[in-house]
Amino acid sequence: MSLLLEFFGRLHPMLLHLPIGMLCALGIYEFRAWRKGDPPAPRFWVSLAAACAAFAAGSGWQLHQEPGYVEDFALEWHERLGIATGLSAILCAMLYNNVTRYRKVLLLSVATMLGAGHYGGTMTHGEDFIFEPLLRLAANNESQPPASVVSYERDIAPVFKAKCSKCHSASKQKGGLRLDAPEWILKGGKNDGAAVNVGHPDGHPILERILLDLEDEDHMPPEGKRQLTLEETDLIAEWLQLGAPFGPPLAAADAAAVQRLRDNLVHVQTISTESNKLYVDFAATATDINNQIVTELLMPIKDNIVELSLARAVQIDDGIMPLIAQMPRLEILSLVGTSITAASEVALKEIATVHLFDTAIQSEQPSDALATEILAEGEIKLTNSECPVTGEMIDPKYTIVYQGEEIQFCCPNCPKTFWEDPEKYLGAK
Amino acid sequence: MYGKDVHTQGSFASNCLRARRLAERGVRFIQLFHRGWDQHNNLPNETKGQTSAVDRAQAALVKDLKRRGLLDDTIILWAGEFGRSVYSQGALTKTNYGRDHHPRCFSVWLAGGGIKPGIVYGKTDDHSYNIAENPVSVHDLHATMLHCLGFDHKRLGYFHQGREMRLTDVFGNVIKPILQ
Repeated sequence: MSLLLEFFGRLHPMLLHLPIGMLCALGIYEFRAWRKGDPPAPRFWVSLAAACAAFAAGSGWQLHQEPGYVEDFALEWHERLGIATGLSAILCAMLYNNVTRYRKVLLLSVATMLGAGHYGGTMTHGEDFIFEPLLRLAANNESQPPASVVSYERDIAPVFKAKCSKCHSASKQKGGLRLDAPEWILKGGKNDGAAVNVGHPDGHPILERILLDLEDEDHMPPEGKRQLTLEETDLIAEWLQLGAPFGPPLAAADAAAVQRLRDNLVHVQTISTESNKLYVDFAATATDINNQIVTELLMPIKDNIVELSLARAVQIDDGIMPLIAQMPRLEILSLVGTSITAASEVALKEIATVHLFDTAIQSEQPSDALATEILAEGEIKLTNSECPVTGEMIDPKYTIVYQGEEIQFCCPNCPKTFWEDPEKYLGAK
Repeated sequence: MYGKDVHTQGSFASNCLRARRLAERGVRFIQLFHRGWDQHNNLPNETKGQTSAVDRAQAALVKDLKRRGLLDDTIILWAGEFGRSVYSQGALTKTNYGRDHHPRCFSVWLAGGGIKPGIVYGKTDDHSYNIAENPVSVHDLHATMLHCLGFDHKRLGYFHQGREMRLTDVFGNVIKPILQ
């Protein structure tokens, strides 16, 4: 019996179209009859419409008994209005003898049927299914410039709000997760931890869930809820690929300014294909540039520069610091071999990495002994002109270092002899 | 710093200095050769010359790149295409013997860009004949270097002979323990 009932429930998607057609047709017929003073539609058709509406409502109610439905606004009102349609349609058939009452109830029945149909459509196709193409058309007509870089504020937050906020916001936190503000997204839920992997192109738990099959129980949004569109999924994936940046996106550097740099043989490139951050290197023209040239060239793109090399530019001195101070994103700066002085040292502390080798600013002493040894070029002096053991011609192939002095020998055997008693042979020298 | 050979054109020391200057000017790939390591005989004499020619210069190159801030984004790979046997080839005397090719196990060194300094990875058996632990294939090395360059070797493909090919073919694993 329960299996038969289940079968009956599954008929709902088919049965529901019958009362829609019939009630609409009856409505139109009676409206025309009322205007013209004609008699109502034959009893047979009214009874049939009532029966169909009742079956549709009954099968719908039965279908809802099956597990897997998430209670929400659309489902609740679809069910209420559907049952109201069924009952009012039966009432129509019962009141058939009183034409005025029959027509009034029929009007009610058509109204509830339209309402039930609307929410039913919302359940299966999502909100704005019909008007979405028109909304898109309207949005296109507003002639927005195509956004090149995804922005959390502009592109991602609205999607999260529309598709995720029902279960992941202030009102409800399924799995302990909120997606309505950056700090909550970073805090994450109790299953996956942080929802995004900031600064990395992959390893984002949120994207894994979005991309799982709809049937998978870990898929988000859950089956039966409004799903993300392909465009929204792409947008989120693009944003995550960038490392989930929450700040406003960095606009691309002025192309003309970049071209002017390249015309001047300056190396300019973005640090990755997805980024608008720039790496600028004056290597090719280092000896020719000065503060003024660099300032003029870099001023238009100062916001985009994260890495700048002015290495070996001897004409660059403390006068470059006003420009450096105006680069908000500068992380790596090479001033190797420039004429920068200690006056700029404090200002340079703001930058994460600065290379100052070969400038007036002295770094701390080289820490390891090897560095000291190698840096002290020329300290190891060749001290002998003939082999200290045999007195014959020396060969650079057979060299040793003894007490910071280079000693050369005539053959591979002499060093061995030497090490046995160095003082003896050094004295003989 | 690079040793007095640096003044001799074509010496390894001179080439190391040249390599630093090229790196400083933004050259992306620099290859230095040092020939003459094929000691099938006369090894004890020749090796001294070979090693003294490269020892100081290669250390200086690492130090020089480091103090100029260039070592952070430069990988130095010192490698030959095979090693040499631990046992002798030809007559074994105190002053003259040789070593044959030995491709089963040999060492390379890496410095800079993302490589963990001061560690030894992998081990041979007591006779330096076979690899005893942590073998690294050429594809592993390539995968690791590509990783340091910011590429996933499993995704980086190029179209060749009608299909996408990988630089590491179907092999290679990034050697995580040698990364910083």
